[in-house]
Amino acid sequence: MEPSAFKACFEATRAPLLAYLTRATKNAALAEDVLQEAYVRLLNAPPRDMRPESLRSWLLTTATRLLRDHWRQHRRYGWWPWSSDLGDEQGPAEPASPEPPADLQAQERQLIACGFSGLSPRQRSLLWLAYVEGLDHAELARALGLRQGSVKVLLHRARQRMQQALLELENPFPGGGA
Amino acid sequence: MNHPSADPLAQRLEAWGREEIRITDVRWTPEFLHLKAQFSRRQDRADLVRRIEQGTWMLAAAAGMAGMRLGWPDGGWASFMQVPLLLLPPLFSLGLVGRSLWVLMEA
Repeated sequence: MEPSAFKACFEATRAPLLAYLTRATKNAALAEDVLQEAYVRLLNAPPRDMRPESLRSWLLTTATRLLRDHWRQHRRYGWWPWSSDLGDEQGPAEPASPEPPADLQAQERQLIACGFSGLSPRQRSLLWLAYVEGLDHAELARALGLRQGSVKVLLHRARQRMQQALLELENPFPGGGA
Repeated sequence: MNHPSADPLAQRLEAWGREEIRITDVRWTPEFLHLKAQFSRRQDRADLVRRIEQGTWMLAAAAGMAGMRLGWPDGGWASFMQVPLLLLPPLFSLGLVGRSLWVLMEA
């Protein structure tokens, strides 16, 4: 891959990809590792279709598959005493803020981040890819290694869970009077 | 399209995601990734060479043991099998030495 073409692709995709991976893994270091590996694969074995939109989709799919492999490995070997470096969801993805943010926009951000972090890794990937990146069901299925029918069901469940989490966060004491 | 404009959850997620992307900072450069890709290619090649070497040593050892078991060719029917078996270990060793020299010279 030409350095100039790679640089253009990198500039266009780095922030969306890192934001996705950081939110999906809840671990900034792991997100950076996965993203670097995706770019290394792009450099070493670039896809045939080099249009910017295809490259973006290819990178999203590759990063998601790398994450899936990581989680599988973590599930399989996570209990081994020497596999602590496989662990995700431990890193400082988001700084803890003891004070509630002052403005409404920041409150909304924190609320959604909090609800989002309560989902499973797959649900986080699904919601982000569907609603932030705007992937359709076929692209989601390809990225996550699922059937299209399963994507619909899993996306529906992820939405329900997110909605429930937001409801609970917005209204922590339902029916409770002061 | 996954999210019609009337879907409030989709809208909230999208707005949140855009903001997250806006504030995300990537610290490394394309040049760093080029170096990393180059290193990764070298490492892949080194892994492949190591696997070939290991397999070659095992083959050579097996051939050597089989050759010793059969003994020196006596001109009978077994010579057909024995000669290549006896020749394999030194040939593999020569090949390994040659490869090592080539790798050293390349480095």
